[in-house]
Amino acid sequence: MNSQEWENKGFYIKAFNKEVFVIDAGNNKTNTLLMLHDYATSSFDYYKTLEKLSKHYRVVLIDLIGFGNSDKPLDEYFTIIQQTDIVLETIKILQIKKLTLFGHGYGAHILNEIIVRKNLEQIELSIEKFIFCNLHMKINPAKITFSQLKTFIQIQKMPIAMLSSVGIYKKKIKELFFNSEKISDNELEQMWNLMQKKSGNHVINYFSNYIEERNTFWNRWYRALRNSKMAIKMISSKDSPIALPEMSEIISNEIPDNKILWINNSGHFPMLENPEELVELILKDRK
Amino acid sequence: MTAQNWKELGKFISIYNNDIFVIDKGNSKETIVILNGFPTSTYDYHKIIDELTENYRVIIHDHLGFGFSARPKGLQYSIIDQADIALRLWSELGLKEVTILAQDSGNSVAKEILARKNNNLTPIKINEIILTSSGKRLEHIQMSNISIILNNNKIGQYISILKNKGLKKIENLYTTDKQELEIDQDDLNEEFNHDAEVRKIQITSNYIKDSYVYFHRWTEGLKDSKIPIRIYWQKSDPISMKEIAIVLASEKINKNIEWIENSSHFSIIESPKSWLHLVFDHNGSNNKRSKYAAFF
Repeated sequence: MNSQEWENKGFYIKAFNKEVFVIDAGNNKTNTLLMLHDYATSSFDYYKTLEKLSKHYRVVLIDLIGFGNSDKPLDEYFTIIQQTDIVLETIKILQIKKLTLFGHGYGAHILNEIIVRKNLEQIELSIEKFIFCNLHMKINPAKITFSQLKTFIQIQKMPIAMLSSVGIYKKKIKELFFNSEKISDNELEQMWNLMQKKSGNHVINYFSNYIEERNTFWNRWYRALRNSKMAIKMISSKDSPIALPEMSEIISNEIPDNKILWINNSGHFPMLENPEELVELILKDRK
Repeated sequence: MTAQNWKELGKFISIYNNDIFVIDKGNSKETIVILNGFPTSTYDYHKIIDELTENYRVIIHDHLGFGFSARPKGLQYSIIDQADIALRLWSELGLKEVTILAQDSGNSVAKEILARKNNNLTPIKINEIILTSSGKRLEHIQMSNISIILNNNKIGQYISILKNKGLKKIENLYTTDKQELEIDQDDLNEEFNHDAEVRKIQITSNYIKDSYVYFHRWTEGLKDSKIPIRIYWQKSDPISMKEIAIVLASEKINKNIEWIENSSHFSIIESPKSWLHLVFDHNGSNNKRSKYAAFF
């Protein structure tokens, strides 16, 4: 699969004056699964899981604004609040009334924000389940070890370093895998292309705004998780250097009756490293 | 008017399970909703509410965590949260069409509401938005260094301890008029303790951060606005300098924005009549006769 073939699978819609790339696959009329990607990546992350999941769901993949094939505003930080507006508008345009939401990392924060709006009765959409994958949040340094904290801080600086060249990009992404052989040079090149497209590498300059926004909403999102009566599933990689397992546990403890579904031997991108296990966990307990 | 009288003017409405203090006064058909600044309370408006009610139904509420409204322990509320609460409150009161008057950090709440309105995400009709700064002058010249320190959550705590011990600069940061503050503190916040003070400062420092994270969203919101906006600014107020930057970025683009200098530093507290005159006796570019002449 290359990035061009990937683009051919989808189409573009206009949401709030921004062009959004969408892949809408599978014929299931009753069950829809919408999947959101992490920061500085794109819907391409899901190319290994698309076929299998679309046997059970109508699968909708979106490139968030600033990433992949979607519009890339270069002179502004596009906030999570705005991304959420775009995602909800896309759902409206595609006439989806009921769905399951899946979010990875940054995409999971959009799920956080949707839960808030649902709790505040600002949206009417019917959501069957929220699936968080490798959700990371502002961390309390007291709760993790010093070496983990050190790695975590290094990783926070990573996106900027990633941009200097395709070589460094490949190296940095590989570090996020448990087994770096699970990702091929070709895959990394496609991911690089999608990031570079429409000068999208400049979007990453706003990485610190993203971290700041995440910190700002720590309370808003936590409150919503605690108070939510909706079905929430958490899937976490045992070896993600970004969403540390300890962090996942802290978050899971906040959610009433929540149990983490673990993926072993898995780094930050289970959709690329352990697609079968991930699909299995997504489908587990499905109605 | 004492703070107690002020409290008696209002009522409490439960919004998302938190008691919000709101004053709803006046019978006019036109409604003005007021978003005051943090960390002060709505009490600032006691000097002008009577004049305002001559022309408006006036709705003013204390933001969550401030004034008489609930103060949930250990939680921080962002500008986005405050906007959620304001919109819900107005909807509970059955308001369909309003003019928004905002002040200082209330401006950020107003801009967030505008950004939502531009995307048609909230049903309320907004006739006009008036953004103002309170004219906390002199003291604010010292603001830049202090705000850097306050921006650090860890250090912010210790600053607030120092504040309790009377560190003058920080005291001034939150003080516009010494006498007013004394009334404010004694009457409004009997239970005011150290923890509350710590939180107040942390919250304020977080609001400063919010305006950094949302700078682009709100600038875009102003650029795209189809609602007329008036901005009153003062040269000596470093907070409004940020406002000015936003306006400069958008004034040529959007003819709905009007930018008016408050060159005499009128403020609600020190010169309420002149302030009202400045803001409401405004003829606008279309040169209509002012309907607010009744004020003066």
